[in-house]
Amino acid sequence: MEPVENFLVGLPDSEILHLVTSISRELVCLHEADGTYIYVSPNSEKIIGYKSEELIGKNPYDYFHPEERRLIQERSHQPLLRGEDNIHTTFRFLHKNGSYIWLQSDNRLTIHPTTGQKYLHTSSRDISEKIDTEANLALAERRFKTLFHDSPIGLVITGKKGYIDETNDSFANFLGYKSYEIVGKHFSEISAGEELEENLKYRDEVQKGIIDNYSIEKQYLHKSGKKVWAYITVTVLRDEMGYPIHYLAQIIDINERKKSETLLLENNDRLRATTNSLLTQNKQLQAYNQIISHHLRAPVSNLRSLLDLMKETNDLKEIREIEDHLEVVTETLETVLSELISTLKIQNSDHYKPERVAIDQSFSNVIHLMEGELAEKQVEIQSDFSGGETIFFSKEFLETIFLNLLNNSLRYAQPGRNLRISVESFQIGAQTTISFSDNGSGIDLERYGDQIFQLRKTFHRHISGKGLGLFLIKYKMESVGGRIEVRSKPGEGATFLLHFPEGSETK
Amino acid sequence: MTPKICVIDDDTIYQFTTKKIISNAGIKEEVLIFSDAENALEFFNTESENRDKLPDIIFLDINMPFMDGWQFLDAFAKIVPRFPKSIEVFLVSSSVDEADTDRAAKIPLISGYIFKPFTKEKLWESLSRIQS
Repeated sequence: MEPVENFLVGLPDSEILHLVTSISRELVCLHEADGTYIYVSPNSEKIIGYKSEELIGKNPYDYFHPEERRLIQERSHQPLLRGEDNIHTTFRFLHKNGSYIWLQSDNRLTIHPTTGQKYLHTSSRDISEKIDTEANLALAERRFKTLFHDSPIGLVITGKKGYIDETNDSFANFLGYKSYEIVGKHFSEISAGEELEENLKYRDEVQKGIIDNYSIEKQYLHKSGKKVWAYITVTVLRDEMGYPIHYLAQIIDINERKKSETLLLENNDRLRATTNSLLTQNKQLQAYNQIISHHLRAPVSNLRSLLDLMKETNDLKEIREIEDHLEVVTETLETVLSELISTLKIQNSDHYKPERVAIDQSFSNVIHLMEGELAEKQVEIQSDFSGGETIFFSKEFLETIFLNLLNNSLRYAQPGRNLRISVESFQIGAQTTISFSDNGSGIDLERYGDQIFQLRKTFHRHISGKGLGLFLIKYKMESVGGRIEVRSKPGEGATFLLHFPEGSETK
Repeated sequence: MTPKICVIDDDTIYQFTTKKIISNAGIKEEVLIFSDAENALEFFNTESENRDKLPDIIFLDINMPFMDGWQFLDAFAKIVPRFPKSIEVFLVSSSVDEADTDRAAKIPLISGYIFKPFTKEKLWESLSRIQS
């Protein structure tokens, strides 16, 4: 108490004291050396629930929390009496309502100038609220740490620049690291790259406050170097101003799921391709069966008729004539059978051995084979395979195709004009196409378009076409995933387009 | 009256045996034979009002290389109203494909469907359909 102050205002000490303490949140008390209250400021009721007169003459040890009495005695009370200054204590005090509140006290020793009597002077305030908050914070922190580190979901906290501040074992294990090996890395160092752009785009939107979180599927780089799929959700933690300070990423391992998903998709594609090729083959086989039965039944029924007629006659001349016909029918049967055999051979895919074939080479081989006939008919042949030099196909089949197309052109050459054949190759995307054109008599596609590739269909009078060639070419092309097209106008020639599928040696 | 018979079929052996079967059956009238349906069509077009030249019965093959039996029938149906007499048309085929027999059943112009081989019995049966 400084005497100067009351002198200035002109009020008695007790009045000043009352004024100060009633508006203060500090409880001010004076104690005997053993602690007995001799003064309690009038605001005591507000802070600890007791009126001053209720406490005077009482000992505060009765109100301290039993667990802290000894501590106060040893750490505060005794040192004060020994003359130590400015002792601060925090302890629990029994409020009149029966609950303990947290008080923090500044304690001092006062010695009476004349009697030398020791008094203790305390000034206390209620800090329960602060203690609670701190305790809750500590608890929350502990809870968070537990959740963070024990979570089966991978968790990563990165700073706003993208460097990893903290990670849990789940995430570290997922990538084959120890967590301390990951902390400090930039998140792009452990990202596989493909989705980085998408990731950064979202981060940018988060940065700008457009969104607060995002989820994507992305690939991380495992320590071993392989890529692993994860589903991540990134949440931003902002400061009071709304600026991002941390990003929390939750990472779920979806590598197995992704792998089976990919496998499933691949299998699906393969299945669809197989189904398509089976449907095509089935359709071809049905048509083929129909053709076989027809082409075998026709000569067989001729045989039956001829034999019946033979039985009915004794005329030698007539028998001779029938025998000649039998000869012809037998030959026909033989031809049909050999055609069937060669067709069956081609249909058997075990014979199909694709390789990188130089188109130029195969074409030359066929031209060489037909040299005589081509020279005799003065056929003019142009070829240019610079637009696609090789295809992945069976060399034998490619030559068969060239042979058939050349024969076809020779057979349907326009009378009175020299046959000109032009062959070239070009690329359409990954596909190689060979076009084979002639200036022959052509074909009326409007009329025969749907029949041109059928077995034993010919469209010209007086020309003995077996019709097998084009049927086989179509069959072969389709069974390896290719296609054949024809463009023609009667009298102007025909162009066959052979679209070979994109081939690879690895398949 | 002896029936006038027309055969349209590209198979020369079949032409021979059919002709023989017809003559063995005692039919003296010459058989009209076409290897090519378009030639046959041309004949019917030219002789469409000539009662003496027109046949009473046609044995028509389905599978022919240039113009097949179906195509012939399409064109033939258009000139039928001009004919001064009725003509029975029988489809003849070695095909046992149901699609062919079903298709034939839907064409009123067709009197019947004959499976090869063509025989004396099948000839008589067909001729019995001719009203005279």
